[in-house]
Amino acid sequence: MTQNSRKIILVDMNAYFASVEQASNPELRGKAIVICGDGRTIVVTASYEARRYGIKTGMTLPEARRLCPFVIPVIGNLDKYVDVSLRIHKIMLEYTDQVEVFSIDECFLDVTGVEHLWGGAVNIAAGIKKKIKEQIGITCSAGVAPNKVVAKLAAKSKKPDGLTVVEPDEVENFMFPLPVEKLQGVGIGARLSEKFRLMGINTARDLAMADGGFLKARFGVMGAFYKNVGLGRDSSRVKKYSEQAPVKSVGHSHTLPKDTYDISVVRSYLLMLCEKTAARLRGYKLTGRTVFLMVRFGDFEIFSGRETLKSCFNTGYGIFSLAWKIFERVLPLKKAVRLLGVGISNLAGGDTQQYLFEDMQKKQKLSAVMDEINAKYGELTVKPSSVIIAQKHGILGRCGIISTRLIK
Amino acid sequence: MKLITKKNEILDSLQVAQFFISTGSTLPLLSNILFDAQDDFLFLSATDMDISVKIKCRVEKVEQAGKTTIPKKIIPLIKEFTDDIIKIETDKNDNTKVVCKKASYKINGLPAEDFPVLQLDEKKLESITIPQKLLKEIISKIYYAALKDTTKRNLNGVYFKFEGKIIEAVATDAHRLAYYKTEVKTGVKSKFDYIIPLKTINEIVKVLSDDETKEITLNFYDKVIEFQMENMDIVSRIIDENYPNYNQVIPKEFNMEASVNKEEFAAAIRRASTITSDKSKIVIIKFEKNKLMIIAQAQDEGEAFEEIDIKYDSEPVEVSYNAAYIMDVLKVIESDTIEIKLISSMNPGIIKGKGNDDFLYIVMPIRK
Repeated sequence: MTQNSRKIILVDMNAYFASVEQASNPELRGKAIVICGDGRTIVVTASYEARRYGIKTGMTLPEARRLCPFVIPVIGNLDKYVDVSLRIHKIMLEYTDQVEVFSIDECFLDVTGVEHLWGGAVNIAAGIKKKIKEQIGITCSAGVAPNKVVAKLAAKSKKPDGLTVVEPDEVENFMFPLPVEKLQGVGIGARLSEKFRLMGINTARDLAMADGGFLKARFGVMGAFYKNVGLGRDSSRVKKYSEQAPVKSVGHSHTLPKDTYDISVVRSYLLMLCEKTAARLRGYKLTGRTVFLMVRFGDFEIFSGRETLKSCFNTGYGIFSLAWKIFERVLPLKKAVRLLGVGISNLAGGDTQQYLFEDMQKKQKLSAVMDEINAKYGELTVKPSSVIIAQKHGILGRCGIISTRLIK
Repeated sequence: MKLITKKNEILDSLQVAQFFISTGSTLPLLSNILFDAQDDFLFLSATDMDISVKIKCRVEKVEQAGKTTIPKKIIPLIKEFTDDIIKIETDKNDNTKVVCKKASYKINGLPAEDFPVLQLDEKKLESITIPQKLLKEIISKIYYAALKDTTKRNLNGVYFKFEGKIIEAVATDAHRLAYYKTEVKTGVKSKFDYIIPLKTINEIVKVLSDDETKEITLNFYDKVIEFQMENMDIVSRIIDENYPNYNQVIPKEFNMEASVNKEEFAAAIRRASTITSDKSKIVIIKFEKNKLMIIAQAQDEGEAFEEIDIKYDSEPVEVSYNAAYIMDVLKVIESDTIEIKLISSMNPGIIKGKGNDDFLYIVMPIRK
């Protein structure tokens, strides 16, 4: 099979933001540090030294301090991380142009057909690791496997500074013992693995052996995908570096605490996501004009849509009015809503075109003042009143970032 | 229905009717054109439910009066026929036979009875008759400034106000505004104001004539407006919302005033905008004593610098604009010299042709 003969490498930076800070500031090396957002108190990344105390991404700073009183908080600098990422990409591009930027700290490489030039895929992975350590000063974990899913799990299996190779005939041996929780990052999230557990699916092997018809009935089209994950099969292609460079978007997604049919709850969460997205967008000094919305229903079916305007904007309400227009396409709701994701792309510089009319000027000024207050006193201190419904339903502040690919 | 016609008698009218056919409608009847033949005339109607058109054209001979609706594919078919006699004949099932020389086509249509007609309200309020050329002039000077999407419905159209002999027209997307004011010989007794959908405006401007002698009558109803021309009748819904208070945003007093050669300025802006990024076409315009400088920068892409001689005697000032907004207005101003009037770099600026007070363009700067 051609699929088995592919050579895919996943390179994953270890505690990326923290490592970059430690590499650029010798005083932080070997110490427990956490990276926090500007004006926010949520841990974005913890260094390995901090992780030893049990500090994890998503904790609040006071929680982290309770675990380790001398932890050093460092305000994150996205520009710097993007810049270092670009330098890391250059190292990988010396081997092949099939480098897919998966996130700010992970890249897939497809070295099928070029591996013999460098003495095999394992040598390429080792070479990249060595160059990143020498030139950037940070460590990474690499996985070498016949496809992206297995390469990703292989890289994850040994951190930090690992290099794990899974040959085509070892895929089942590698995959089958993995508990379902370990399949995070390849499309199986925490809540989904809980569901699997309830169904008696405890390991990748159970998932692989599960009845295809049953999975399909339960999860729709995703059923077959999950079974393939269990089998360690994946035919998805590694994109070329040049194919993805123009992708630039900012967004947030949130799984609701409980699946809901209540439009006012959906509306409130959506508004909150739009406000957060807009605040981040303004934080990057950007504006955008294409809004995309993703809705996952209780049965895991996904609806998505996009709307584009002629002119750029950066207000939460601006994003919301388009997102809501897209959401209206699924009304009346036939299924309960499980997850909402919203984002904005087609980004441009943040210089703001002024409005002629006073009421619109006021809205523009309002956003600026809101950002200032929220930067000082914490995210969503000031917010539209309809966001309060979402707050009553729980868990604010832990919305995942869908994607922030700011490739210059 | 049975008629004989020549290609050139109906082709132009059919092509005009095509503008008004709705695109992407789920109603098959709306992709058809209504044919109504009587007394050696053929009346063609098309609609998308927001705007409808009825065109009158003389044909060679109507042998049997009647109505039917025919899918729009008849238009490319007739276009491809040679300049010979075309016979169009419909049977009782609304299937139409089109014959030209030895070619014979059958097109399946739908009954005319179900074709939707935009109802005029019962009571016509008033009407005004003006030269077509004037209406064309008003529209072409301003309509590009209207909002092109429907995020703010009231801005997705052109605002007209008729009061006595005065006609005012406005289009804006909330960042820039184009304004036209003119006086006509015969006005209206009372006052009417309408927001006419941009879609209607786009179609009207295509059919208006430049001929000085041709006139158009606007009939005002409560929720629709009718445009009557010699051979054509267009009925459009209006946007039933409030238009923003444009008078409030037109500055009346200024601190700086420049007089600039239009061609030189337009060419320089066009060149400088090639350097700006596709998404935000920002140009910085600097006014100093008797000179104007245009600066544009795009990160990692390049820089532009232009300098032109102007008449300017006020304090130096620097303003950033969207180059597209400036280029739009320079395309429609006819005067050789333009006037730029400013209050400060943060306030709306005015651009107009020198010696022409009918037309004004107001544009907001970009805040860096």
